[in-house]
Amino acid sequence: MAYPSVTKMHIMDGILTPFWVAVWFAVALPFIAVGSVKIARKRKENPAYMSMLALMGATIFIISVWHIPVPVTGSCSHPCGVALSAILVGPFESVVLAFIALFFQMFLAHGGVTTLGANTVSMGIIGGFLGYAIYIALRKLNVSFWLSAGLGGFFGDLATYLTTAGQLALSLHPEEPLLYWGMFSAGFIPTQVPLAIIEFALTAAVIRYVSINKPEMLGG
Amino acid sequence: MKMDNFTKYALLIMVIAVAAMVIATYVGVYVYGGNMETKYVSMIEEEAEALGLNFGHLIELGETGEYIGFTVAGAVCGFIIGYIIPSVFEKEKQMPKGGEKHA
Repeated sequence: MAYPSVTKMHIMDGILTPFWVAVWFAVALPFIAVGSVKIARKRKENPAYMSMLALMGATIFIISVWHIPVPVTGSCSHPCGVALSAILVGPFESVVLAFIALFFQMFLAHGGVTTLGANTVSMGIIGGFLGYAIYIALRKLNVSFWLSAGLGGFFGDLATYLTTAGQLALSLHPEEPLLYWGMFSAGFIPTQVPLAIIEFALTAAVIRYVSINKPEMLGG
Repeated sequence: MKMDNFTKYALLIMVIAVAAMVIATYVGVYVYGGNMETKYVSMIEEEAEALGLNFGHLIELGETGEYIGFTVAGAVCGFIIGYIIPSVFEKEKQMPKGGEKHA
């Protein structure tokens, strides 16, 4: 019998060319810098903020290595947790948490040193910011907390993987990136859509809980 | 010892989630004939091999090492999350009306 194997996610070392390694680090670093400054400022204003940050850091770490089996495709993948984190601690701050989580995941044979920038861009920046933007836009339209957050989680998750597919296509097949972006996306979408639905449920449930028990964390 | 609601629901969710994942894995293997590998990663690895790239991880844990590593990481994160959650979500105790007068 074929035993389920704990496989690797995120882009591993050696896949991206040095040019793209540099590009993705250059994109990620300003976000990490702004996030770090914001964290330092909020920590001064409210020392309890660090507890929330540590909580979200551990949550992102574990959610984004959490292999969930998808029976109909006979494969597995993982959610990201960055939309949830961006809603609760802020999108820039969430990029810093994603970077730290990805750093520690390297020691679990998950991701890589040279691809840390690319993985931070796809998961921390694109996934987090898109999820946060959807949440904020829907809240302004008076959509409920749980639905706004759930949709943020759903699209944040899919956006992460579409970005990863784009990064791989650009680096592996610079001659036809769009074609290969479509091919890579088609390869993981069947597995990732069920997981995006799980991310919808997880994000919606947590934000609903927070909106009832600690609404001040969501700005009222 | 009486279990508080949060712990009770957390345990319940954990048991349901683990059961759902075990069932999903067995259905994936026995019904759909999958090997539960991450298909997208296999595709990328095949592409990288075809292009002659030398790829891998900083640390290769091996299959048993990954099971151990992921279990330890999950346990440590679980303890961190469980330790911090009560302090983040604790509600401030409200003074009963007129409480200050009697203090």
